[in-house]
Amino acid sequence: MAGPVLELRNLNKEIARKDREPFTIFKNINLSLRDGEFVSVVGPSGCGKTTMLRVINGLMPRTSGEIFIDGKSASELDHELVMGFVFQGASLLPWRTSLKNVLLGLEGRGANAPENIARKYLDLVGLSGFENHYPHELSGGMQQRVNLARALAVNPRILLMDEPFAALDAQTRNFMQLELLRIWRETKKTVIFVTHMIAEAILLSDRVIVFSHRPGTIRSEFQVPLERPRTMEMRADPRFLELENILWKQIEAEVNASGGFAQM
Amino acid sequence: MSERTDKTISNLLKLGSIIAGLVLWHVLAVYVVNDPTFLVSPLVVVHTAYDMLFVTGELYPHLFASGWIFFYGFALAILAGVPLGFLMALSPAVRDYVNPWMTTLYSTPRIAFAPILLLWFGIGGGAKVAIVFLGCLFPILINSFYGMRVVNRDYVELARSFRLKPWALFVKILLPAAMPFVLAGIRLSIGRGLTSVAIAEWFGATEGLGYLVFFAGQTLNIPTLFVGVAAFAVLGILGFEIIRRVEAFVTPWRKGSQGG
Repeated sequence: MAGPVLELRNLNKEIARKDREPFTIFKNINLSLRDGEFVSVVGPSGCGKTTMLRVINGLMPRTSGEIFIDGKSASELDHELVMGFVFQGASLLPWRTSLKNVLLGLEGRGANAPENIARKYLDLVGLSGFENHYPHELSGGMQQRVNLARALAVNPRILLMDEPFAALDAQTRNFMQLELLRIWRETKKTVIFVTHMIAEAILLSDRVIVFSHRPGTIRSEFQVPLERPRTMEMRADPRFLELENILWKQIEAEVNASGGFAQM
Repeated sequence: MSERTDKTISNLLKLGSIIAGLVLWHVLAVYVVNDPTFLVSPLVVVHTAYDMLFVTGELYPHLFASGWIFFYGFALAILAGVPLGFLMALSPAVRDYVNPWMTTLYSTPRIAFAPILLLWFGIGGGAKVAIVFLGCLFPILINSFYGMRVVNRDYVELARSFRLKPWALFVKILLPAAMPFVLAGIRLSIGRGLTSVAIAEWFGATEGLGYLVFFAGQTLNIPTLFVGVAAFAVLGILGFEIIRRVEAFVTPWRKGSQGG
């Protein structure tokens, strides 16, 4: 069997502070994802889960530990686009149309007919016909679709998603979750999905990782005992509810350990 | 439908405001002041302007003289101010070098430079262009600097995530993000540039709109004085309109989010 697509070994992140000992964001993260696996990371606010994604993507340097992609060190692969990052907020460039936003990662990389690729991915996320719209002409949900298309268009090995639906209203969010499941089925990407919503993590994932409060460590992990394809009805499944309950208790314990909800 | 009606109402209000102002001016000049060495009716001004444009044609040399001085000073200020502002934003060393000079020169009244510049560059065009250049430079420089400094960090992070090379980061992210600020600076500098033209032509010039206004004021030729002032206003409005069109062309994504 093939090795893991992504492997984190003893990953640590500290931030230097003046005249004080460094501040540890997360420590001893060991995690591996097999090809095509969808893994969610949940945890209390400020536990370092977003920072972990950013360190994996090289947006911030790691303090120690190793990141391997298909067995190769991430430092060696730094100039290649092996990861696609779906940002939380409106990270679309306002001066580019949908099509041009999706093209951002394809330009200057010798891609064959980049525009056709960009169109294909806009179509995949259900936005054909909106190629020439500027971001401010799109709804929040549509903007996140473009965001997703842009990350997918470079055909990355791993998709890193940082609470991509957090800013959407509940209805749009549910719809986008189903859309993401469909797109994931069609592209078979390996995904790390950071969220603070337990139900979202269960619905989408093969596996859910629970982060402890600061400094973030992996407290526990659970296989999601639900078959694919997932549906919204599964949210009422006893297995779903049981896992939701367990995960909630764990996060609650972490929040209490960090000083309670008043600290959030 | 209502959007269109709103626009019509807005245009009618603007037109009404102009007409009301002109009527008030006329009434003041003819019935209240009634002294042509102090204030004349807008009708007299229009008549004089007509004469100077189509009968004697004496306005043109002044218009062209001022136009060229403005154009050269303005263009040089853009050519120098935009790159220097960008460099200041991107390099702390350049910033530290330029900042004290920028602060000093910006806060000194431009009119104080006029005599020394005339001394250095002589009565010819050079000194006038230099005065206009100084007037236009700072809004452009400061806005270019600021625009590039405040580029949203998320965009820079996005560039890193897509592994854009430094040049691509500049061209695809920083430059378009700073563009609205740069254009705002250029727009601001039009007014300052025209003021500078007037200042420059008050010192020993023999032609130009500034000279015309100054000379007319000295000889109590009120209609000509108003024509000169109006010509400045027309140049200013024209410049604004040109930049507005350039903005619509260069930053088309802001069309919807920009007020008129």
